[in-house]
Amino acid sequence: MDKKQSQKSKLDQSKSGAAALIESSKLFYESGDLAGATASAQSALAMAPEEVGVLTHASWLFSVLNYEDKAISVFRKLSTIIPLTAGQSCQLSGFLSRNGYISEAADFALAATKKEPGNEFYIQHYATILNLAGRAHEAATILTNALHSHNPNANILRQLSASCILLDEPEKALNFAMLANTVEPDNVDMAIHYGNLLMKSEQHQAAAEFFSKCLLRGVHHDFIFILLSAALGHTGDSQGALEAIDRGIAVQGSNPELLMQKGNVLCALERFADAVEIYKKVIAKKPDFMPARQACLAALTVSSQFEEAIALCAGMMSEAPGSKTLARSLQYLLGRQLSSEKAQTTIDPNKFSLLRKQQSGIRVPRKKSGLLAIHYRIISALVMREARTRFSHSKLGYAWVVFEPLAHIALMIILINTFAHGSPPLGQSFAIFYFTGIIPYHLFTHTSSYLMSAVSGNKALLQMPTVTPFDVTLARAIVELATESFVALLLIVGFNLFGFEANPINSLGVVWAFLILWVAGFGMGMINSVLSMTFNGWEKIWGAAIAVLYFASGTFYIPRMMPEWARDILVWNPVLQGIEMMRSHYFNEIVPPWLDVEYLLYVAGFLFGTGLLLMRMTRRQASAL
Amino acid sequence: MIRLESVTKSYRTSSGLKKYVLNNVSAEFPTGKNVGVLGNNGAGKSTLIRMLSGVELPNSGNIWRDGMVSFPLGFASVFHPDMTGRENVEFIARLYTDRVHEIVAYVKDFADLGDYFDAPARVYSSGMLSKLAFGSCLAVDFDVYLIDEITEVGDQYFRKKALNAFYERASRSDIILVSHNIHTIREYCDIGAILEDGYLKIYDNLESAISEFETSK
Repeated sequence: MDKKQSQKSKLDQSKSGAAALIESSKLFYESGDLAGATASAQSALAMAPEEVGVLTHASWLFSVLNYEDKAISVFRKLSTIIPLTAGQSCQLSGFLSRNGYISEAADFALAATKKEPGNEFYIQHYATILNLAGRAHEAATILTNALHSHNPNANILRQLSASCILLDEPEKALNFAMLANTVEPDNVDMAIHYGNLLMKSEQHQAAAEFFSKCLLRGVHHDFIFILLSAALGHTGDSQGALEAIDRGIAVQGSNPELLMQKGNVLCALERFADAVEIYKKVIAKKPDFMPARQACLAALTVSSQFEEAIALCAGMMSEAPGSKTLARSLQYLLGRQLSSEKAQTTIDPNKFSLLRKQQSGIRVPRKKSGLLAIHYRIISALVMREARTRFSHSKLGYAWVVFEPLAHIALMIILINTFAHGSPPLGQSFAIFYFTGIIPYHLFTHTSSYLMSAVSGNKALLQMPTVTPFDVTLARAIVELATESFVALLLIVGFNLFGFEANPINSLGVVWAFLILWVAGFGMGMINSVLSMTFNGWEKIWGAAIAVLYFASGTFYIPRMMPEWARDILVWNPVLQGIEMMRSHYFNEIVPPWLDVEYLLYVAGFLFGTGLLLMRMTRRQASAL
Repeated sequence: MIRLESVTKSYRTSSGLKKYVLNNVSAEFPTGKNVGVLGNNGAGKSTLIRMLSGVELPNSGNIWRDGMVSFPLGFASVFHPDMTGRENVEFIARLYTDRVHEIVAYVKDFADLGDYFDAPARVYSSGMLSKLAFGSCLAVDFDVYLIDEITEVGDQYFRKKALNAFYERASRSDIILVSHNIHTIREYCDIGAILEDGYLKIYDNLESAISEFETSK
C-alpha cells in the first residue's frame, strides 16, 4: 500500500490522473481486489475516454473478468483509435458472437487471422464464427486451406466436420470427425463429436463400440456414458443401456443428466415406477429442468399413478398457465382418475347411465336424432354410394344403360321392316311401341337381377353395424328405379326431338304401372338375393328365366296377336300384365279384357312380402358372410 | 355400456365340430372403462367384437348397446375398392352424422395420405386402409370404440398418433380392445376380460385378468 501511495503522489493531476488510476487498478487486481480494480479502471475511463493506455488496460481487465458488455464497448472504442492486436480482435470477436453481433464478430475474427496468418487458433475461431453466421462454405474453404498448409490439427478437423454438417454432407462430416479423433484420441470433445455423428447417421452399433473403447482408454465424461447408453438403447439392447448408465453414475456421481438418461432407459424397459423415482431425483437436483418433469409426468401416467401425476401437472400449469398441452394432459388425467376411482367402488349396473351424466362436464353433449331421421340418413348415404359405384367398373356402363333399350328398338324395327310391313299394333310408330315394352321389362329384370348381388357383393359395407342387408338392397332398388326412369325420360325427349309422337296419354297411369313393376322387381330381387346365397346355381337359372320372360312379356307384341290358348297362359305373367297396364295408359286404345291390375298388385305385394320375409329369416347367414 | 344377455354363438369348424365362441354368456362391458379382451388365437375374439358392434348376430340371446358403438376396427376393410378415400370417408360420415365436410377435413389431416386420398381405395396398401379406417372412426366420435388387434394398425409413428387421439378422447369414450398381446392391453385398458372355451369373464382388475390369462396358457 505504501508503494502505491508514493507512486500516486508522484504523478500529475489531470491527464496523468488517469494513468495513475490505471496503475492503481493494476495494483488492485494484483492484490486480488477485483471490485477496486474495476472501479479504478472505470474512473480512468471517465477521466480520459480516448486514451489508448486506459482503453487497453480496461479492455484487458473486463475481458479477464468476463464483463462482456463493458469489454465490447471498450474494445469497439479502442478499435476506432488504433488497430487491435490479433489477440484483442479474437477476444472481441468471441464476445460479440456470444452477444448476437455475428457479422461484426466475423469481421474482427477475420482481422485476427490477417494479423497472424499462420495461427491455427485464429483460423479455427474465424471458421467457428463463419459457421455460426451460416457461411459454412467459406468456413470449409478456409479450414481446408489450413489443413493443406499445416500439420493435422484436431480442432481444425473438428470445425471442418461441423461445417460439413451445415453444408449437409454428413459422410464428409463423419470422416473429418473420425480424423480429428485419430489425431487426439484422448480429447473428450473430439470423442463426443465423433460418436454423436455416428449416432446421427444411425450407426448405433458402431457408436456403442466406439464409446465403449473410449471408456476402456480412460476417456471419461458424463456425456460419453449417456451417449453409450443411448446408442445401446437404439440397438435394442435396453438391458445393456441400463448397465452402461449405471456404470456412469457409479463413476461420475449421480448428475442430473446421467439420471435423466437412466429414467429414459427404465421407461424403455417399461419399468415406469422405477423411472418415476429416478425422474424425481432429477427434479430435486434441477427443479427448473422441464424435460425431467415432462418425462416424470408421462411415466406417472403410464404407471397409472394419477394422483401424483395430477399434482405434478397442476404444479407445472401454475408456472405455465397458458400451455394447452398441459391443460389437455390435466383434463385427461382427471378423467382417468375419475374412471379408476369408479373401479374401486362396486356400483349397481343400473346406475351407470347416471354416472355417465355426472361426467358430462368433460363430455360433449350429442344431438340425438330420431329413428326415422337416422334411417333416412343411412339410406341416402347408401344411395349416393350405390350411384357412385353402379357403373364404376367401366365408364361404358353409363352409355350402355341408354344404348341397350335403343339397340333393342332398332333391331326390332329392322326385323319388322324386313319380314313384315304395316302399322304397329298400338300407337303411330314401331319405335314408341317397342319403347313401351322394353323399358318396363328392363325395369323389372334389371332391378331383380342387380339386387341379387346386393348383399353378397357388399361385404365391406356390411362391416358397418348400422347398415342392414335390407338397407343395402333398398338403396340399390332406389338407384335402379332412378336409372330406368332417367333413361325413359331421356328417350322420350329424344323421340320428341326426332319428330315422334312419344308422350303418353295418361302420364299418371304410366307412372303407377312403372312403380308397381318396380315393387315386383324389388321383391323378386330380394328373393334372388336369398336364393343365390342358398343355391349355388341360382344366378344361371335366373339368367335363363329372364331370357324366357323377354319372349313371354309382350315386349315386341301384344297378347291380342297371340292365339287364345297361348294368351290364357301368358296373362299369368305379371311382367306382361305390367307392360299391358302401362300401354293401356300410354296409347289411346281400349283397355284389353285380360288386363287385371288387381292381380298385378297382388303378385307385386306377394313378391315383396316374400322377399322381405326371406331376408329376415336369413339375416344371420347374411351377417356372417 | 354393452350388455350381453344369455348370448350363445357357435359355428362349425371345417372338420364338422361345433365350436362355441360364447355359450350362454351374460356379461356387461361397463361405461367409463377401457376393457381389454384377452384370448388365444381361435377363441373367437374377432367374432365377439363383430357381435358387440352388431355386424354379426348371435345364435340366441340379446346384446344391448347404450350409446353409439363404432364399427369394428381391424383387418376387414369397410371401404369400397372403387370409391376414392374421400368418397369412402364421406359415406361413413353421412352414415353416422350430418357433419360430412368437417369429418372429411379431419380424416384428410389425420390419415395423411396425400394424393392417395383422392385415389380409389383398391390401390391402397393395408397400412393406408387402416389409417383411413382409424381416422374415420375417430372423426365420428363414437361412445364405444371396438378395436381388433391394434398392433396391426399402420406404422410406429401413426400408432403413436392414434394413441394420442384416443387418449384425448378417453374421458368421453370407451374402448373395447381385443388382442393376444398383453403389452397392448396394458397400454390402453383399465380392466380386463378373458374369452376362453365359449366363456367370457370380465374382471374388475386388469392385472388379475392378465395373470389369470397367463397361468391358463
